[in-house]
Amino acid sequence: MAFSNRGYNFKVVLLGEGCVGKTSLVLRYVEDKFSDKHISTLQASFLTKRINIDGQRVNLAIWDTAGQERFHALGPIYYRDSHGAILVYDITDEDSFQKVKNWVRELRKMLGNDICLAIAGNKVDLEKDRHVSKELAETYSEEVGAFHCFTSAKTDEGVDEIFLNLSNQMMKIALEKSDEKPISSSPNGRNLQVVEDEPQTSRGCCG
Amino acid sequence: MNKYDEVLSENKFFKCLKCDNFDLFKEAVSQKYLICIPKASVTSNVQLTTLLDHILIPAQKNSNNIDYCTKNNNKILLKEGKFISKINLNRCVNILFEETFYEEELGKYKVLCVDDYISSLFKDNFTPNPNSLLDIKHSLKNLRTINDFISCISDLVDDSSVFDEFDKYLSDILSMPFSKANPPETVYLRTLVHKVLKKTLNYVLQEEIKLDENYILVLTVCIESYVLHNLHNILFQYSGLEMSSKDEKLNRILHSLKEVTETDLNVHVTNINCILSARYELAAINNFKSPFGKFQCIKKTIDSFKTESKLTLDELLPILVLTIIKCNLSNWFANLNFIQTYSFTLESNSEYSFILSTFEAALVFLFSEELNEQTVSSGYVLTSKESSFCLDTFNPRAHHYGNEIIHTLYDYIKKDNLESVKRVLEVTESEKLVPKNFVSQKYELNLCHPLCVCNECKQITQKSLKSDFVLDFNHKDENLMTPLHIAVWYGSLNIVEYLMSKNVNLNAKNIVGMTPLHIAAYKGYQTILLLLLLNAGCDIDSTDSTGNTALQLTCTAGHDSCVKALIFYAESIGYKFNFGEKNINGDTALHLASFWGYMNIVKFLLSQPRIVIESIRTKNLKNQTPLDCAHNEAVASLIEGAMENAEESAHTDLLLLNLEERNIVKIDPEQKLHDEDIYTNTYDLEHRDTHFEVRENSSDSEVNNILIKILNAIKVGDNRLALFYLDINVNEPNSNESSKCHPLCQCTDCSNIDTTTISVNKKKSLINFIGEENYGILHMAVLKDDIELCQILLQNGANPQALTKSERRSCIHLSVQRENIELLKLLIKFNVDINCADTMGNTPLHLCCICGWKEGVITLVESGAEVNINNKDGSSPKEEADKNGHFEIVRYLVRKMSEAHKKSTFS
Repeated sequence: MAFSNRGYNFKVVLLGEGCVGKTSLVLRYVEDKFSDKHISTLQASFLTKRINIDGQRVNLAIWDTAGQERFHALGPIYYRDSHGAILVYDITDEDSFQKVKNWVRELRKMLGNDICLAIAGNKVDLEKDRHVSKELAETYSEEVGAFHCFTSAKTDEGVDEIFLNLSNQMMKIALEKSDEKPISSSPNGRNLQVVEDEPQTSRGCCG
Repeated sequence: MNKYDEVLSENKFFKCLKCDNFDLFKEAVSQKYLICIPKASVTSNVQLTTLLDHILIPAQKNSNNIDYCTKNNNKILLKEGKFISKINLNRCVNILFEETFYEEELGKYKVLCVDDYISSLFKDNFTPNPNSLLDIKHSLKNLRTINDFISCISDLVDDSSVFDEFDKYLSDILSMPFSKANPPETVYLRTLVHKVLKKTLNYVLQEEIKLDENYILVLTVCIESYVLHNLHNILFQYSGLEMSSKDEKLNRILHSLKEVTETDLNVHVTNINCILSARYELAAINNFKSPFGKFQCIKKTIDSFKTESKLTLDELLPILVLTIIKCNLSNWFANLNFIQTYSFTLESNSEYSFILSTFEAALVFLFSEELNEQTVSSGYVLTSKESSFCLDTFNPRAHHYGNEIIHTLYDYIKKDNLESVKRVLEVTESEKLVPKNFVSQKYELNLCHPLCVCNECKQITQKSLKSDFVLDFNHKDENLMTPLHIAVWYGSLNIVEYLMSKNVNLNAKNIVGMTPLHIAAYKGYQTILLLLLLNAGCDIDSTDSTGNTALQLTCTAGHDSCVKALIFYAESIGYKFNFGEKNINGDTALHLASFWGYMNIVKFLLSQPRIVIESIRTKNLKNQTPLDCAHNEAVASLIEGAMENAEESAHTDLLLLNLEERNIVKIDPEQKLHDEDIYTNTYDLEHRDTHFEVRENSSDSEVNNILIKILNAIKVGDNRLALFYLDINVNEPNSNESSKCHPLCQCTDCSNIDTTTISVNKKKSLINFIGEENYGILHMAVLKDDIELCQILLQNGANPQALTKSERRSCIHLSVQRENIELLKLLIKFNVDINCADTMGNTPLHLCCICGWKEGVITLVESGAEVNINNKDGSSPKEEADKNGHFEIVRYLVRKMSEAHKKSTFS
């Protein structure tokens, strides 16, 4: 149900190693806040943002995830049914870029081309400590069909851009999909939104 | 969650600003001023001055609030999502949502939708928006319990008959004959529920309801929750069945993780209260019967973590995992499955699915057993720094060294490194034989200064300490754990064997009263368990501080192999397990295995012939039999099957049984138990211990014999015989006082009457006598549903307040148990105390609510029974009805309570 009469509803999931600044990125985008310290980020684990792109309304539900390696296996629970993913790495940390590559591989394997990807090279305010080369990151992103952007939650650089670009991509995919299938009776607040034809049978743990 | 939404481009006010006053709009955008738009329902014709008040120029930014100046030069400030006038701080306009626009010509700009005109803040006649009050009450955030749902539906729908209509639809499902052997598929159930939901919603929404969309969402959620609450008992049972094997495995894992602490999970909690309050929230999840209620419970749990300001997102999952471990609940996957399967309206709501996903992730993480390996690696930790065995209280370093050597020892034990353990223990053991005067030696040491801690001196003291520290085989650390405890804890078989060969104390108890055997049973080390039993003869019957035997512990932790080992061992040495053994919660082994859903253990226990007699009807402190606390249908049907078998065999015995015989014949204890069980079968009332004690100590045996005769007569329906024994003549009107000339008359005729009355009264004292048997004569009459007899007895002075011996129930309780309305009314007529409570604190109304006897509830409430009274579980009658799924009664009581409330507020 990506589209309703109220506009598009997209789920965007943020993935990446711990401490690359996923949470700061979302907080900057949604609440226009930034703090150098590790602030209370539990509040930011789930945030929504409404945007309007040339008359098209888009509701973004942004899911932040834990970066700890021990929870890696739980990824599918978070990214299933996502329309888009923002993969964040820290330009001063080579390892975090490798993690992004792993995530891209996993997402493409599990969700195919239905999911739109954007890669954020975060912390460009620390340009002097850069360890991931600009060209490398950009060519890789192009290869895997992901939008690449250098961002800084601190200076608010590229934050708007990456979310806006991802939203445009997601709208494009949603349009293509609705062209393939005729739009079923438009859901609105008065009807229950239940998929009757294909009830989901496997509602297990790692669906 | 149910945030207000509207399409701003269709908002009149916005159109007016954007099209008719484009220059102003363009200026606002280019200057990055804030643009506010009142919501569509309040906008009417717009004037330019009003427009100007909605363009906000930022003036100053403080920590909590931002000052703005409108284009019209009015000053306001933004605080916690509200605009407040600087002139009058009581006035505010709420921000409903923010939308960021990206347009080709204009670029990016932000628009805030607000719930009223900003300009209204500066007007003299400010009237707050009447809707905002309703908003709070009916926001989804505040809805949780069935009461909330019912009152919300009745507020929003102006038709009291809706519930009857709902119940009609519900009965479609409730009356369906689902077979236990062949449970319906979830998909099928979901479709059924969906159909019913559609019907109910169509019924409500077909009438023109003038509500905005958000109210419709709230109403839909409420109706859905109401319907699912009422279907909970059926649906949850199947969710439980479907998830039974997963829950079974998870329960084993949860038990193995009992000792996990926040440090094991890398959670840095400064305020332990936040975990406690979260646990309190989450442990209540089974009290909520609708998916939405359960969801709210999880949400509240997560919200309570937010009060801990230092927590980061990376810690959200670990802390949730920790809370789940500490909750001690047995059906997590059943709950998850139930919520996921039966969510309809909010299924695609993003916050709803986010919270459920987080919960699911925590469960899956636990289920993956990843945590298990990690905790084993951190293992048993000495918690406190102070030690009880300090050799030299003057020298803290000695103590430190003691701890160090213990840590090394524990490390060797953990690695099952026998040689090293031997070395540590035997060296210290041999040195123990040569006592040394430590203090004097200390002075002999060549230190710079007696208290010096420089590196050289340190080495010298350490050396001397090493030779001085004594660690014996029965050494106890601050948790009173001996090396044997630790070896069992880590499952180090070789070390256990070695320590046993050294004649250590096998039955030493640690700080929570656990012996090594207990630990082996709880942790599931079958080989060690058998080793301890076979070669060393550990005390199989000892209990820990919570009253659990090894058998109960292993039934809690779910180790089939250890249960079997314990029972087979007992059989082989001819020891008879007492399966009726209760822990401090009154739970027997069967209770525990049944509660945690361990199918194999339940099966195995039930195959033991004596367990049926000793444990199957035992009630724990919550008054539950093993059947009552069964984890799921599969377990329940196993127990039911065993009970049926037992009843069949008991039935034949019953025929041979005669109350009088029982009184005379001395029976051996085994037989006694057996008889007693059958007795409880017949009357559904039981109390074993007091019953026997009283019988043996009874002095008034003659009266008792008559009483038993009378009870027996009533039991077989021979009322005339009973009345004969009681010396009551039914045909003659009873007229003790009326036949006297005057109540105090002393004439001969009257004194004659007096003497006879006295003798009769003596006999009649029998009428209220409660001897060795549990009940008196009136009780028996009530149990036999004999109204006529009851009436006679009551007229002849039977005390309607008399209580049964064991459960302290009055006749009115019993009449409720029999669901006999005539009797109930009769007893009420005789002015009995309608609110008297039995041993469980249950009033007659509680009992009615538990068994779902609506007629009784109405009669009792109308006769003035107290509705707001709690039993010992802390439940009111309404809550009991809710627990047992009698929703008509719940609704009736809710209505009555609100009526009473209204009355009291009016008066």
